[in-house]
Amino acid sequence: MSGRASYRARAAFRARAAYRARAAYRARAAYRARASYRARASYRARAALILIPLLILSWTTADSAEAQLSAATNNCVSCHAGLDDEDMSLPVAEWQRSAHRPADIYCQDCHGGNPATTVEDEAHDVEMDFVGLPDPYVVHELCGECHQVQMENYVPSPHGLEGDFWPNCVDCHANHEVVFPQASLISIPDNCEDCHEQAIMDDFIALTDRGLEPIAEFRRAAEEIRSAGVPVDQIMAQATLARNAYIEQASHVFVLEKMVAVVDSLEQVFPDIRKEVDAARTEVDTRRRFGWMFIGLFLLVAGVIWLYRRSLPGA
Amino acid sequence: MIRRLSNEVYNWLDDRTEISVIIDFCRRQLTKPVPRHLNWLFSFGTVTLMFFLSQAVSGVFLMIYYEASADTAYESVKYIMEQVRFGWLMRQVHTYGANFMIAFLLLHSVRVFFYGGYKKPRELTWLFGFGLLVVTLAFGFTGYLLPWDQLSYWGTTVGTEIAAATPLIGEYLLILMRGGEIISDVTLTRFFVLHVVLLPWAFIALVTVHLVLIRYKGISPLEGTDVPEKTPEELKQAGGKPFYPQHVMKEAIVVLLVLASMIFMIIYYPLPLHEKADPFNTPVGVKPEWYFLSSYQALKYLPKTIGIIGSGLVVLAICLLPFWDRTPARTPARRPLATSLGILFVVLNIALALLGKISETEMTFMGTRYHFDIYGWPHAIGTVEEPAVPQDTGGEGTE
Amino acid sequence: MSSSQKPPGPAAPGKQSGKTPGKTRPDPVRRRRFLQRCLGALGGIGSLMAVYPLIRYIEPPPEAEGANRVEIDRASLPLGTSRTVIYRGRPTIVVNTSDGYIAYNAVCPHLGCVVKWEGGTQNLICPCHGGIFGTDGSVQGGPIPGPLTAVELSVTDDKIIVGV
Repeated sequence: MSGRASYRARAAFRARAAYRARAAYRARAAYRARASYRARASYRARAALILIPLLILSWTTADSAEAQLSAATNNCVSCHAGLDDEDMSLPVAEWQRSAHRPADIYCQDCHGGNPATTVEDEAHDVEMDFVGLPDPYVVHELCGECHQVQMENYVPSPHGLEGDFWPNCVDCHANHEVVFPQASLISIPDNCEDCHEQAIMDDFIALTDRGLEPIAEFRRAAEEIRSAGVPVDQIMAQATLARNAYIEQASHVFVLEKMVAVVDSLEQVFPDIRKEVDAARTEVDTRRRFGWMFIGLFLLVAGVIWLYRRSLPGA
Repeated sequence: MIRRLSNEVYNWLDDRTEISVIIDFCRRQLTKPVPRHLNWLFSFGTVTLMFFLSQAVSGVFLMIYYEASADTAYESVKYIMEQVRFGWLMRQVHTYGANFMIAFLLLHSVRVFFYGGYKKPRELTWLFGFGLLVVTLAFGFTGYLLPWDQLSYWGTTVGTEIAAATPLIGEYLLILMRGGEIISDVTLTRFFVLHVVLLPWAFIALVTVHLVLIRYKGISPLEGTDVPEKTPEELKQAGGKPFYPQHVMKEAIVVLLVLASMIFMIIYYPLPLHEKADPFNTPVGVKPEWYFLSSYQALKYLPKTIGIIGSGLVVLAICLLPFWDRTPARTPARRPLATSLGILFVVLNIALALLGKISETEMTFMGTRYHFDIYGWPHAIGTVEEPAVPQDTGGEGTE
Repeated sequence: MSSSQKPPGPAAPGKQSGKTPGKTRPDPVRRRRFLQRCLGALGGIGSLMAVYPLIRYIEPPPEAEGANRVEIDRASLPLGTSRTVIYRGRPTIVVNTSDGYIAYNAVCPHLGCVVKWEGGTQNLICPCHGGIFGTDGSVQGGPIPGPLTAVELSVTDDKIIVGV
């Protein structure tokens, strides 16, 4: 099978890449400390310049500069961000853009090591489970620590055990720049095309959209309505249920027939949710109309009083 | 017919109560002229008073469904906002009204300061006004806890914590306010009693004296205290207009405009009810309400005892202002020192409040992401574009 | 507004009223009377508008959706026993009789007491004035003006559902 052949090539490539990465890492060791100092100094200078007026107002001591935020104290991030070697610094920049950054998932969560130290050997201590490049066969277990449902669906799927874990999680979702899943991930050039025809990919994409788009739309609408003060707990609960059903039964199973069944059953529920969304929208409009009636009346009365005042003798 | 009937009723009442004396007195007071310099700024006090009335009405209506206990308070507020017809309106009017009332009360005090309205012979008016300020802030502080959501619970926790810094009796004071070590059911009940029984009556008593004094002594003139004040007749000759209807109408216009803007805020930016209070889970970046933010922030920079004594002295100085500032001049231009000190005080408070607002938050500024620590001091945490935070979050909830 | 206008006076050059050029500033007294009437009318409308939400507010609020439906575990209601639940704000009695489950509005039509199930006689009785009802809700004795009102009830494998 072409999938299997392709996998062998891939494994060889991965092994080579790992060696290269490790070599580069060792070779650049001498530059690191200096680079990171420079980087941190420049942050501080810029911060001070921009916010001088505020600083004058807050007569704090320099000691108070201990940032509470873990991103600032995570030494993997602060050290690697300033490295000259792109292979070593780019992952930080990519991670900063990723969905893991706001979720507080840091380097050590996948790579191990010790983020609390600035001593290079201690930081990359194998005793602390440091792994420069995780084994492609266990990547799904790393991700699965949090994304359990996805892993449970993936392992028995045609891409899991059956496909020798290829592609694995990061082949589609990227490793450092993990973005929020979208239907477009289903068709990544050079990834899926090797084995699958575009037509089949399109079917998968269409199906995903059919199942998830309405749910996303309900949630967007509900958020908007919530900020207008109308309760949407019911809508949110239903949308979450539908979404969980999709994730539990349809995502990462990679079998078209199973997905069709799930999406079909979801589409039975959508009209009910839509009805509730519309009702909530109407309530928002009613409230606003009611408010505007009062605003109009107040302005009108104010205007009449103004005229009356002007018509008083000696005005 | 109706006129004759009402005359009969009036005469009947007058025979028994001499109501005509009271009515004559009121009419005289109402038509008493006010000086020419009264501009729009002089209506802030009336706006505040109107908000007190509106708070009283909406507050009574909220009490119909509100249940003051830790188990039911949050649910009852949620019930008011979600089940009761127009409950959302009632709650928003009350919450927004509180903020508007305090804002206009502060504006009113600032206006009185700059026009020298507290000077002789109006020291008592200022004292009662100061009492009203304290009572109103106490209203805000106690009322903030009543919805019993995360924000109110922890906001009150940090707020009461300030009292603990008082020398000697601090700890005792804290226990007294909270009714225990932490904010609990006991705290809620005592805050509720303060909010709906003691403070309203205190406010009514103080505001009555305040208003009587204003009417009795008249509006403060622009001339210094060394110039004898004009009698009502002299005022009239100098172009003063009667209080009613001229000035009352001006105030009515301001009141209506403020109300209209409050309704606009209510329908487009309603204040939310957050998660129910959880005494075992402190949310990040807890802060008191905006009107306590500047003093809260100032206390962060100073050692606890110095901070609390210092702010106590500042409050005392404001309270006793008419007794130590006895210079005759009233207009801002003729008393440059007081004016500049006043401006400095206002600017300092706004700056502190802004620092308090940005402290413990993150912000992106010219491509660099900053974290502001508790002092409002920025720390760069990376030179990146906004992280690609997904629009659709929270969907991953499949445990 | 045109009604409050006055023929041009010598001392009042006035504004153009648009309709008839040369017309002048209206007579202040009539103008004030007109504006007063406007204020009165607007005030009336305003008070009505303000009173409406207040009245609606104190009306009993619509029940939450959950209360329109009460579920009881079948296991918790053995044969011959009863349970009184609040359904749509009213006490409702559910009984597991030998002929199946029954549910009635438990408020006695006589004077509003809440009826009880008496296992021994297989009757619903009112403790206040000795009213007796059969398992079909009909009056079996006592000063009762009419039968009990039945409440919708459905039964699943493990639950009894009061309401729809």
